[in-house]
Amino acid sequence: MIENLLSGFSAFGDPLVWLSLIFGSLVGYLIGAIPGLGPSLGVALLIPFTYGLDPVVSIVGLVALYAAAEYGGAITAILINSPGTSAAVATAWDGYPLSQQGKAGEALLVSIVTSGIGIFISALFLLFTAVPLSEFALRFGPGEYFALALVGLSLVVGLAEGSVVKGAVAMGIGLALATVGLDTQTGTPRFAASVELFEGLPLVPVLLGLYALSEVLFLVEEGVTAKIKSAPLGGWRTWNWKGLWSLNGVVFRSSVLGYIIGIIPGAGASIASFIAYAVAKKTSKTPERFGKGSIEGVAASEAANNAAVSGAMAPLLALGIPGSPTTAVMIGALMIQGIQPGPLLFSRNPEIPYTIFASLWIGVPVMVFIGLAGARAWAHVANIPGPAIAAIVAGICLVGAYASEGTMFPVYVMTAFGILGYLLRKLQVPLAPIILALVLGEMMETNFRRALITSHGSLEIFYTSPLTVALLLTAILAFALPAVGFIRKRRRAAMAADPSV
Amino acid sequence: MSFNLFKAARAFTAVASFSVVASLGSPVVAETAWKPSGPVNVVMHTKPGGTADIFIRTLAQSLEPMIGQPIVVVNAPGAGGATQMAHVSQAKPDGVTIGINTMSHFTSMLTNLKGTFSVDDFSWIASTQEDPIIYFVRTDSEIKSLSDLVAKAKASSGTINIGGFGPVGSMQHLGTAMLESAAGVKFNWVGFDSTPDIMTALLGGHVDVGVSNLGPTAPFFESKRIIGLGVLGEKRLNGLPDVPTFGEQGYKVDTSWVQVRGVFGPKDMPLELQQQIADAIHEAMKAKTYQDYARSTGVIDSWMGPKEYDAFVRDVSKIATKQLEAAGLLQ
Amino acid sequence: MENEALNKGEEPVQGYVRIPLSILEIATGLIVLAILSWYVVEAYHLPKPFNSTDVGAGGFPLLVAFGTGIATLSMIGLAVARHMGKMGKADSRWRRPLFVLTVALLLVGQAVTFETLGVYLCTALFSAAIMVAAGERRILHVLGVSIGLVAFIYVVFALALNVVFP
Repeated sequence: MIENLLSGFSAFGDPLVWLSLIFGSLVGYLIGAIPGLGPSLGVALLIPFTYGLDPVVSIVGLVALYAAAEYGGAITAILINSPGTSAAVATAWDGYPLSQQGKAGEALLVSIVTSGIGIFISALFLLFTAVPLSEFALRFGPGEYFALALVGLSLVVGLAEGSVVKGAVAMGIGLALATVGLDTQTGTPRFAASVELFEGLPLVPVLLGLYALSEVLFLVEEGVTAKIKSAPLGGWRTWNWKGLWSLNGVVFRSSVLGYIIGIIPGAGASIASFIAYAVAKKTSKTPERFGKGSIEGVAASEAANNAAVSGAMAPLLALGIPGSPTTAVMIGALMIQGIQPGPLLFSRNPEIPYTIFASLWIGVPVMVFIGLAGARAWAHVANIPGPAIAAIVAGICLVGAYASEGTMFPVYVMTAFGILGYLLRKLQVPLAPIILALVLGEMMETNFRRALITSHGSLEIFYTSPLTVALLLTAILAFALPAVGFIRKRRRAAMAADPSV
Repeated sequence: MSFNLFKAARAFTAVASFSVVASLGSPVVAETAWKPSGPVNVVMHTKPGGTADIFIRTLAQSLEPMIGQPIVVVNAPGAGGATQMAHVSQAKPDGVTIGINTMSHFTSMLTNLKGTFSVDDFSWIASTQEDPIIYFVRTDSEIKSLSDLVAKAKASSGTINIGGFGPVGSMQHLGTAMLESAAGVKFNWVGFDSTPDIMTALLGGHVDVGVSNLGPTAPFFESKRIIGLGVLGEKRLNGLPDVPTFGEQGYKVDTSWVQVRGVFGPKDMPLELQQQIADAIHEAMKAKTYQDYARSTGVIDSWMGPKEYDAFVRDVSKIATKQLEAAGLLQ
Repeated sequence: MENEALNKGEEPVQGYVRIPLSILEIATGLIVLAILSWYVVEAYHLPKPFNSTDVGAGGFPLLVAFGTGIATLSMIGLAVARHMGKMGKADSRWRRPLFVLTVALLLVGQAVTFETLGVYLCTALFSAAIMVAAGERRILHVLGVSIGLVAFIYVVFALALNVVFP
């Protein structure tokens, strides 16, 4: 293995490989930062340019692009509350409040450093555990996927701000929205007034609407009031190294979580970042700061969604099964190169997996360097006056939504959800449950029904697999524990207010 | 949306690699009769990176020099194919806008797009690929052949789980329905949204039998993690010579029920133009770049021109109608 | 919603409108319930499953509607209780409602006219209009931002990514 790993690193003796790495990182960084475009689109765009290139050269570029694009979403999430992908939503929860407090530079710094560390740690795990963990992930059948989706959904309780009842209403709305489109088992259109809705509501325009466009309307409320000036990001000597170091526990936990969730085919970076965020909040000494500008929240989300990149690579390398939409596109790229990803990859083309390990590691410093250079410039965006930001966000979201599919439909979806998002926020209805339910709803329903179909209608599929039982128990506990705590608190408060009770 | 050319990336590949020149600039460029008046828009029903998308992007490499115009891949995913079909049907029939179709275009025009589009709304220009479906099981399965499968299905009265792509009424499900009626048994159809999901479920033992085209399954056959039960097609596959066809094992099904990728355009396109386009595309398929790709993904080249393809499309739609009616999916 | 408040005769004081949160919650709850009833009717009429062990296309939606219905009813119930009782009343503040409404209409406008005006004219006009509506009065700023935005879109989307815009 050491020998193969060395040969993986030796590929970097070729200047062309370096060029490909830097080019991939730059393109990924930009594509990730533009609302509406994301890593899978970026990889697909780059594929035509890999024809005829050496496989090692092209795979290095594609991996670098994937990792950098998964990071790029954090920039807009922090600066203008526009998570370009669902994996960056959790980053916006704390990143944007930090930005509003004049700490955009610090948030960007933390996001790029923790992203880099997330990749670094997870790539180390990938090297040693890709094969055994991918085989383990095969145990995930419909029952397990359903239970996993339920665990994801149960996080709503821990995350929701304010009223529990409103959180439940929001979750219901999200689940109902997730059922729009062609039914996956019977093929009948559901709640789809026009054919555009057959594929379901496009997630990215909904995200842009709920978060970015509703923020535009909030900026209008503010008018030209003076903003808190963003502290400029100084040289590396001035950074809060101690503060960064204190994040080591959060970053490590989130990286491991992100990696493991990334391995499960179909789970992916967004669920990884949601779960890591919830776990970070549970284990934090200052959970009350989450959602109001906690550095830990940004770190957890970013470390996890980048660690999921390595995770998604594991089943691709070990079994030839893509762990994410982006790796699915990568399989196409590899096949054009005449390389068949699959169980024989390690014995037949060992240079490919080991080059991927190597490029994940070598890519980290390159990506962090680009990110840090960018962070200095981006931090100034936070100082642009409110009305200008509102106009810019509205314009870029418009163009980004159009470019995401090349039609007007996502533009209309985004605009509708923008106004809806503003009204919901005014009513103090939390948005997080809607997004969680929209991301997880289809996974939950499809796998619940698939489970019942494969078990011929018997419910025992949900309690005979130890994995399913463990996941279901986690979900039930996550739902129940905060509720118990809430009732206790209420009772205590009531007793304090009225001694006669 | 034509994302195919990052200009910067173009410059990069051009400067960085000599191999590009060596492999793409085929020295002999065949002249074709098709001379489009401008860049040719090829409208796709998938996002960039899908199987059909990679097909046209690879073909474009050899087609562009032949017709002397760039190929612009326009991705118009969504609405179960209707976005793409609307795009194509509204275009002028001058050959500058064409689309790529698969079998699901025909089945959806009979089911959820019924009334929106029909076969007569388009010109069916040429077929390019055939991709028969294969039935397979895990190597440690008790089922070793189609007869084992049928025997087991009879014994267990419809509790054998077959996992394949798409809901009831999809191409692969209808193929399975054909086997059901040929063998007089019932299977339990479990629909998946992607082939990797089917592989995960089969390898994990969550379904008994999997259905797929050869491409995505080839490495699993090679590493002996799965074995084939049968091919729904006329002949055995070159890439899988040990797996017999349905017919060889005594199950008579319609062997024209294979996955097809073809080229179509708006209706009322002159037949002469259609023939020119078909010839140009078939000529481009002979290039080494395309052949390398096609062999590595295990697809079979298909050479039907406008007349044959149109007849094929109508024929297949009839079969699909019959199957959908038999399954009770058509009102 | 702004109109609803204004109809009640409340003048915007210092640029914002106050509406008791509980009233808004009841109104929203009723709207959600109305949409849910449509949803339930649609789900109920979905075809029966082909496979007898499947809960069918309508099964899960009905379950979702049931849960959401209960949650919505409790939200309305709590809001009514709060409105009647002495439990802490909260107000929802709608600041600069007319401007927000204007910008919301502008957002709809830019989506609707995107195809007819073309990307550059559309983003230039509407970004300038949004800035003015948001309170920016410095002409040079307005012009600068809208020209800068168009240039950015041209360079990134049209030049680098080669997106075909209307």
